[in-house]
Amino acid sequence: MTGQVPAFEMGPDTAALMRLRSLELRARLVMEGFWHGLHRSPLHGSSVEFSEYRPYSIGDDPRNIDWRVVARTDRHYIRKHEEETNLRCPILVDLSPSMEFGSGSVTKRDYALTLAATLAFLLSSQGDAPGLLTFDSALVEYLPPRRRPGHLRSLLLALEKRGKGGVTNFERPFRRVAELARRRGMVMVVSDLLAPVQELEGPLGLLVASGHEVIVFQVLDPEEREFRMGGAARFRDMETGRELVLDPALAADRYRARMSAHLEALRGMCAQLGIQRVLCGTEQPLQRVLEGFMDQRTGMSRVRRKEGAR
Amino acid sequence: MSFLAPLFLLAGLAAAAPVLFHLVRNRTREVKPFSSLMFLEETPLRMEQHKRLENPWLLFLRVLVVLLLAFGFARPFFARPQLALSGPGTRTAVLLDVSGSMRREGLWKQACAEAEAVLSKAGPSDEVAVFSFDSELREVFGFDRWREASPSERAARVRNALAEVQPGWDKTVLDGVLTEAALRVARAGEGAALRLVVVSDFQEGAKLDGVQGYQWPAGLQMVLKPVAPRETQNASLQWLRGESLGDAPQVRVTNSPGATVEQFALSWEAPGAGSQKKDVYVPAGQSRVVRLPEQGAEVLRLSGDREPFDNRVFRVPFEPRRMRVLSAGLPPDDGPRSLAYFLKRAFPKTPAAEVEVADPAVAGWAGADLVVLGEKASPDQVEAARAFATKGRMILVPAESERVATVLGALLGRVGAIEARGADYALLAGIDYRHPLFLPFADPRFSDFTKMHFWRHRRLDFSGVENVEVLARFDDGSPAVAQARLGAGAVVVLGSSWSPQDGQFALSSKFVPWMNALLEVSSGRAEGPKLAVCGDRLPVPAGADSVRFPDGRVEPVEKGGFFAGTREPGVYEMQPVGQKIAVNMAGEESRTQPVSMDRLQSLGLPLAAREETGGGGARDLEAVQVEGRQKLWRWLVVFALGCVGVETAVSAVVSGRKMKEGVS
Repeated sequence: MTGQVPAFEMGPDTAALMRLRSLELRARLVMEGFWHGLHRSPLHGSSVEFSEYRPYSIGDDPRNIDWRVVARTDRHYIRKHEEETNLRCPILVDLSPSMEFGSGSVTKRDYALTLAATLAFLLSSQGDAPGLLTFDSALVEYLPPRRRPGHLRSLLLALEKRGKGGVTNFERPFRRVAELARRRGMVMVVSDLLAPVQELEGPLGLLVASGHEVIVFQVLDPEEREFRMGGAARFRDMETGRELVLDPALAADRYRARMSAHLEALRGMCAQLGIQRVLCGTEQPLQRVLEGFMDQRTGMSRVRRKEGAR
Repeated sequence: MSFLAPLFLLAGLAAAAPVLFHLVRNRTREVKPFSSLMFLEETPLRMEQHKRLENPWLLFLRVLVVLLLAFGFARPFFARPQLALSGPGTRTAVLLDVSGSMRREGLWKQACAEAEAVLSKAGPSDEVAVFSFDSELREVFGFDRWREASPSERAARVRNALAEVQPGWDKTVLDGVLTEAALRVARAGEGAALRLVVVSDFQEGAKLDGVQGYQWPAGLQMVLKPVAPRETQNASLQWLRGESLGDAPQVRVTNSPGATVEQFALSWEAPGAGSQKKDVYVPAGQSRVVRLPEQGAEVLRLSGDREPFDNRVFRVPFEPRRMRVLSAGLPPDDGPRSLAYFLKRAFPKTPAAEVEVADPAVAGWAGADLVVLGEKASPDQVEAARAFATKGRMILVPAESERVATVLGALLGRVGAIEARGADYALLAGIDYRHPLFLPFADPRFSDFTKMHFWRHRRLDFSGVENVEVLARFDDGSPAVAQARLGAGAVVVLGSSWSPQDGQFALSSKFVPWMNALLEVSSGRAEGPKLAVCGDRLPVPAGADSVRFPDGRVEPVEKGGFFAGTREPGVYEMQPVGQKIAVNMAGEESRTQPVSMDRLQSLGLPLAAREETGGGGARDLEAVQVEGRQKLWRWLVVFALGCVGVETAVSAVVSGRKMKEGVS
């Protein structure tokens, strides 16, 4: 696949990129390539947004009085705005044992961490406040969205912290985010989403219902999509430890069918909830994935604008 | 090539195991981690046909290691040609323990079975003799009889001889028996391998110390065949001394270590004793002394013990003796200057005996045990005393003055008596401590007579009398104590008297024991041993000529000799004196815990390394020695270890290759 993409668009090779130990350096490299190739602000969210009206009380700044309301109703109301800061965007990263899988030299975890770090860089460089929540069977690390010097570095450090393992639990971390990030913002989820759709629907729906804009990056290994695993063997589930003896040649067709069904169901669910879903294969260069994401996003914003004009 | 342990060659069959493993190796052992099995289902495996062995070199190495180890454990050696020739046979002595502890249930059967095993393995060139032993070695079937019998009859004859042997009650003196048996086997002939097969329960009470450091005959091998009973716990009884003084009888009840039964009961076995029992609690490995009510019974029984062979003990009930001493011709008792005064006090009443000193005019001559004859005795009295002494009793004649010659003359014949003159005092010298009268003083603690001074004494002249034995002399050489035979009895003459005017005899510590010794010798009822153990030689008391066994039969015994027939426990009676002796099994036999094999080995017994089979014993021994010199098994084990090393390296290479294939 790398051979089909011109080198200047690609940036560094994914395998070579993942060999860099420093997550910060990886993220910078991706971002630079991204800037060079795109030169476009990734996120155009306005941070000066109307929040609510409140009766004026003595001591309030008279500049905030909405004079139009005074003219209409003869009452003094304060027009409250969203905080003057930029967009707050917690990034949720799945660190469960299944993310350790990698048929080639790149594991899904490495890929997801680099992706999360790159996103954090992008947000930070644009003046937004990135936050972080990593989870597996429990919450591993949480950094609330901030925009202050040094925050990005501690975020990168937090990203590298490992959890205890166990079966991925989406319910608890997502609920936690919904509780902590009360102000509307953007929530990015980086995970393989290898769980029944019914289990995912609730937590994602909760985030959407909290008023957040949710973007899901689904990271998958090519073997997980195609399942060409060589000869018969005992397969062990990396999360539950369950073992199955099977012959991939016999099981591959059924696997692919069920995997496609799962992806289709996910797609349907995301469309229904208004979640932007980005499918990332670990064999794909990150820049390419981000470009695709941006294209998709601009398309969506155009659609939104058109819908708004109508 | 020969093998010392050929059965180990069967372990070579284990070489099939690696072949099977190489054939049935299944690829599904490989474990592949996968992110999630939620879209997977178990599928039937297509079994790959392994018609071809995997990794033949590895297989070869593994099979080789197994074969080398099996071969090494079989202890191979290159036999020398002379080993194949038949040499002289083995001379085996089977020693069967017939001590009291072998009476336990099942032991004798086991012992006979062991003897039978030796007989069945004996080859035509072997010689077998059977001995039984307890405190001494007894021949049951000797080497001579074996040689005389034809080979086909030998075993049957030994069996016949063995059928008459049963365990007895004697104690085990294993050390003496072993050394004697070793000598007998060694002396029975030349040129054969010597073997002692000892079949015993090897109980703790067996005497074993004597074999330590014993120089065993060269070439002798000892095979120990312990026989073990079904019941290992045992309680036993043992009388305590002190009973003869008339105390309540005391018995010690001992329980074996590790016993589970700790509650016992004691009861007398006598018609009038009833079923009255005394409960005794004895913890395992401990003993308790129990005081029993005197009921005059001879047998005490212990109940509650699971091993009954030593649960009955015998005793002779205590009866105080009543004796009479007659004094005739002594001056009347007029205080502490007279002889009669001290004579009455010479026989104090004890729990064991009650002695009456009487005048023959009052008490008569019948039933007297001793007569003391003074110089004033009338001729009738002297004649009566003479008649008394000829029946086997004794007369004591103290020489109060020269007038004693009259009495002695009437009794013995012509005896001279002259008042001795000279030194201030005389001492006793030349005492015959072997004589029963002086036996109580034989111990050096009591043999000092130098503090006993005689102020006055008489020089007695027995030159005219036959059968006179001087037991002690004064330091001037004249007889101080002389014994002259008179019929079956004797006259004991003192060269002085015990009057304080004559000397310090009556006031010394020797007087009372000496007079009592005289009384006992005279009465013939000396306090002999009342308790003995089986196998003891009992002294035959004076006057006894036969012995009544516990089962009622009576056998004559040598007078004044020893009776050695105490084979069974029970009460023996010396007749006609009526002295009873209770014989019990030796207490050591009740200590039935087996001696550990470590202790037996530490005694330096020439134990055989392993039991050889009958006829080929010598050849096997030589094979062991040849194999011990060659030690081929060491090289085989070294080679096997080398193969293991190579196998490890090869399998590392193979698995490394496989992993690479798996990754690609």
